[in-house]
Amino acid sequence: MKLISFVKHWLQDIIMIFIIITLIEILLPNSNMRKYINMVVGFLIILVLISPFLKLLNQNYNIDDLISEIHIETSDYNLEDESELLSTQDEQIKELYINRFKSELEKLIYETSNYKVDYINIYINEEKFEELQQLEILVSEKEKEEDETKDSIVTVEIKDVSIKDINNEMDLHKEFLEWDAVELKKIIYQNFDIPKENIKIFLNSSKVGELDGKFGE
Amino acid sequence: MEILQIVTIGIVSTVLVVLLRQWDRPEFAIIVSIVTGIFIISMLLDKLKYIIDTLSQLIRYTNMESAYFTIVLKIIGIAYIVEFGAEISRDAGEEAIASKVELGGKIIIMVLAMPILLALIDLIIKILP
Repeated sequence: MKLISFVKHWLQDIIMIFIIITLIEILLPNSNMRKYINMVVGFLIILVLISPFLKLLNQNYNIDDLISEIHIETSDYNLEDESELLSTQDEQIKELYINRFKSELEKLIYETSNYKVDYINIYINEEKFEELQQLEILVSEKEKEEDETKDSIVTVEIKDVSIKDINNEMDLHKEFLEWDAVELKKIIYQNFDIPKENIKIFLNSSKVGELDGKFGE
Repeated sequence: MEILQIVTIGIVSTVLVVLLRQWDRPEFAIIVSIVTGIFIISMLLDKLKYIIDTLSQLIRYTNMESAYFTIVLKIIGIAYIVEFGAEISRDAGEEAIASKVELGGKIIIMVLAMPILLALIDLIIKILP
């Protein structure tokens, strides 16, 4: 039974490859390029003719064969796998970049102002990660060393408030346009070279621990 | 009806080129032939895409790796482009440039063919006891 199915598949492959090659022959330009293409097509035919025997031989392998097989399998060149690998690599690089950027930004804000970062939202250009499209930062005032109790309510005085969008949750995270925000934007611009109009800074005026960590998008 | 369009464009541009050559304006004749070639090829592109898609579907019926087939299609494309460039150079009477273009095409085709050759050698080595 196995042999019959094996032969069937093999014949199917051969028939299909010859049909395909006949169609390709029609497409060929009639120039002196023809012989080069015929060479490649010949390789393909040989591949299709030979490859089933490999499967047949692999059914009764010994240890030496197995070792060499693993070796060849690992060195097998597969285009699709490679592209998949590259895309996952890209994603990993992007993630790493974002995390590094976030930690650096947190450190910078903590050291240069009397605010600390609660949450950062980054919109990145898909092609070039260096181009940040938008940066949203939620800051809250640094707690003083002495009143670092869990239940304390941080009260923040906001002098000047502009609410850009009433529909989203900006009642909690208002973009504060007072001196501090301008200063923070300036610091970020100087250190990371992000244009000021792409930076949005919100002040977290909720109680400590009440942060839901979401921006209205 | 597209075949009529293509043939008409071909005949009209041929007449144009002949007239331009008679008026001692070979430089315009070359430009006309290049534009005609590009125009006709661009008319055929979507048809060609349909054919290639059908071939790809056929490939899925076999147990062959589609990577090899992609290489063959790339080679055909390269052959067409090289032929187009070389013919235009030949029309202008520049045999040397035409042969250089063809040489470039041949070398790139050989480079693309190498993975298939390597796979074949791999298989043969595996099969031999």
